[in-house]
Amino acid sequence: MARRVEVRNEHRDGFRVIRPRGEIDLQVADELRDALLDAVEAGGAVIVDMAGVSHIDSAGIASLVEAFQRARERGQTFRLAAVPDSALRVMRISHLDRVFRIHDTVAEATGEDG
Amino acid sequence: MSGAGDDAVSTAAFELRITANAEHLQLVRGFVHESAMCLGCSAPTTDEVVRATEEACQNVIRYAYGGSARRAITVTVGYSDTDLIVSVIDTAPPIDSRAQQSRPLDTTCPSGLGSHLIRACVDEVVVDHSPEGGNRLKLVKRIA
Repeated sequence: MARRVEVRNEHRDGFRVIRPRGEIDLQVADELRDALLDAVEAGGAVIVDMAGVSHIDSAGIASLVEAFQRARERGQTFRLAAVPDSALRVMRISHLDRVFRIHDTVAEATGEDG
Repeated sequence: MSGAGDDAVSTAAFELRITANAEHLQLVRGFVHESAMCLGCSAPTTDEVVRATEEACQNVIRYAYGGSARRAITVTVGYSDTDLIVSVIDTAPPIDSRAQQSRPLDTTCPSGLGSHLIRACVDEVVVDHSPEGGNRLKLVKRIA
């Protein structure tokens, strides 16, 4: 049976907060990509709350990178929050921890501008 | 190529055969996780081997088979005195192992990230031809 990724979308302190949940792999990475790009296209600042992501592979990371790039092209803020250790390790290996703005919590991400 | 990934010193303990469909990656993760834990690997070692195996299978699905979901991938998990050895076997045309060297990552273009992760997560990567034709990627992780 086809698995789907659950992505919640809410507003908080002027930010659009995207909350993917579960295992993000090649099977569902396109769904995450579409949700993130929709959020960016909607305008405004975007935070991706990664707290509910139990696993993410290179395809999922690529979705984050694509959305980040789109936001940057449009001059929008794009931040990650509550990134699990396993995902953080992947980002460090790939040097993406230097590219993304990563915050410990969503609250921290909303409290910092620029 | 000889070394830790050599068949002469390794024993295959578990085998999983799937069709090359992204839906099966979750199954691959579970299989390698349970196999590695069963063989006494630590949790960090297991996590790294699981990640490397998933990325290897993903490369087969996306590139070696070009999305042809009917073709087979075989994953074996085995061991030697010092290593955990995972083999990912496909039936795609033989690849040039020299072309599989990890290139420098471009963080603005994450293509190639999977191969980079594979090499970061295991101690040795060996590409050779499988006995059935096709390719065999051996992922070797030191456990002793």
